[in-house]
Amino acid sequence: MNDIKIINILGGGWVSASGFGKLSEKQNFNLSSGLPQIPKAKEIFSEPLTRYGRFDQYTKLGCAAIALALKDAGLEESKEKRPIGVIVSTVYECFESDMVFYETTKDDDGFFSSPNLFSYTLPGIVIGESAIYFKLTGPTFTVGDAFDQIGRNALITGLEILKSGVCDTVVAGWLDGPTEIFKRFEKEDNQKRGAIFVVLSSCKSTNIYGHIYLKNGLPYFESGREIQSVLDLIM
Amino acid sequence: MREVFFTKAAITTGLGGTLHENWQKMMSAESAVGPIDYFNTKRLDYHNASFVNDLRLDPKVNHVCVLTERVLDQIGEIPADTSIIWTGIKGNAQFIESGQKMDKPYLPVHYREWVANQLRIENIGIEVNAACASSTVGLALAAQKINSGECHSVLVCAADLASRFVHNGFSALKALSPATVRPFDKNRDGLALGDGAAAILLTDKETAEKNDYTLLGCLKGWGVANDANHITGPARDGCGLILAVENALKMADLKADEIEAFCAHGTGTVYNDGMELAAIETLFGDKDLPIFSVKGAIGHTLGAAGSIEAALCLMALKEKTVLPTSGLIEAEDLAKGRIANKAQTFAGNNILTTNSGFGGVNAALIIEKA
Repeated sequence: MNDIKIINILGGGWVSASGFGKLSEKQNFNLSSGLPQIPKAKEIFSEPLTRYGRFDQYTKLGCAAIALALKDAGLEESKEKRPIGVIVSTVYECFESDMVFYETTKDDDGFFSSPNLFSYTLPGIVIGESAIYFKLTGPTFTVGDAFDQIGRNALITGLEILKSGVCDTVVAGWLDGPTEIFKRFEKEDNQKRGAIFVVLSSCKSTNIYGHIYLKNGLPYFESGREIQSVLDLIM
Repeated sequence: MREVFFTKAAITTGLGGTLHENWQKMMSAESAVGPIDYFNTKRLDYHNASFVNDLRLDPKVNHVCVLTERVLDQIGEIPADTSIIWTGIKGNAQFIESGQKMDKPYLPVHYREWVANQLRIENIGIEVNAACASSTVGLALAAQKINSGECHSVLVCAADLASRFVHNGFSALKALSPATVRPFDKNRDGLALGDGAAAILLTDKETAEKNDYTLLGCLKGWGVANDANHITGPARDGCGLILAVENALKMADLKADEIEAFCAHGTGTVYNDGMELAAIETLFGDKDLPIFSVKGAIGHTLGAAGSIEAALCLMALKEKTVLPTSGLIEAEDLAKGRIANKAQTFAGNNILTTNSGFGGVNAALIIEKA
């Protein structure tokens, strides 16, 4: 039980109120309060991502951070589909997009409901968009986080998947987009908005930022220090 | 590696309040899908869904909680160290539809907390969202946690409503049926939504023995894969579903030949059912494999669908019978000889159940008779 499997951190990327960057530039990282500065498509994607303009803010934010993480890991491009998983931790999901879609349903019994906006009322659509663009066919889903956690459950779940051997590389991290509605629910608002992803892999690579592992269901650095959130990997 | 067992299973749908009631009515090919009374659909082309009729009596209470309470009442006491996985996916719809006039916005984390309080157990666990495959992924994740020794007992719990919010969304996508839901039928034309909730307790053998639980089935293998094709449309060749099933077979150490029955996602849409039939053809070829879908009977219960269907698979294994597919008149060519509007018997001990969702996700579980 609980055999330890050491996992490599191959790359990372983030988008926050202070800008965006890769793990290789982590000295620039700052999770300052405020709304994340969502990058333009041409600032992030090597090949045109024509649908980016139609994405909601949550999806843009997540896709950009996942792209930066994969780029940092040297895994941005592939001609073939590949079994890489994506696990996203989110507290607020795509709540803002839900509200925007619902506005379109209000008149004429919902006759004018927007099909495009409805597509973005699931928190995993950001993963679907990323999977299509980066040709990722591993396990893909979102998990919740408690209000004081930032991506911890995605890290744990990603490590569990890698430990099980289902696939050998997982992009895991945190995504919470702008959510006006929670200004009215202070207890429910942790004020943290942005996206941070890391590429975790059981494969060897020439560029490895560090090693982590799972023990008794909790994530640790190789040094034995427990990882509290994905912030610990990037700060 | 520890074996993972289904030890408690409860469901509630528009067709019935318990697993047994649902099974009995589905065996008679009954359907709970009927006209929508709870919101206006006059301007739309789609007017049907499956509702739990006494659910919406008080607009001030959370209907997802009311629905969930009904399955938790059936589950009864569970081990205090049980981890909870919540897989309901649109628990905020009532909050939004009410004009935000509820005490809180009802995030998934609120539902897990509520379940823990109801059961008087510690609030440990996670929320999973994989669109319409959420419960299936939740069960896979639960099994992984037990299999690795991280947990002894995991409750996978979900409830979703046939809400105006989601009905209008699927209507806008033209994914709903204007008439009768007919999974795998030549003339199928869409899905209908349904209220539904499920609670399933998975445990290791030690926990089951210690608590004197009956072993209802063994979760032998699971797989989750993305088809990387389109956010709302499945890959026509079923490549993502094929990959998920292949991974589940590998984990269960089984060959496709050893699967004796298949509970399909079977929404009744042209594209989903076509994708599934393409995958079945690739995976199983000419094998005699009875398949069925319950969505003509209870509608599509979104995040609860995978758990409801897994619970029905436990009954199928016990009775060595797959359910009739309600609504079916003339089977699609690739489904002929496999699907029926009558119950079919099967031999063997392994059943496959799968779900697929927006965002390209596909999930598969292989359940063995205990």
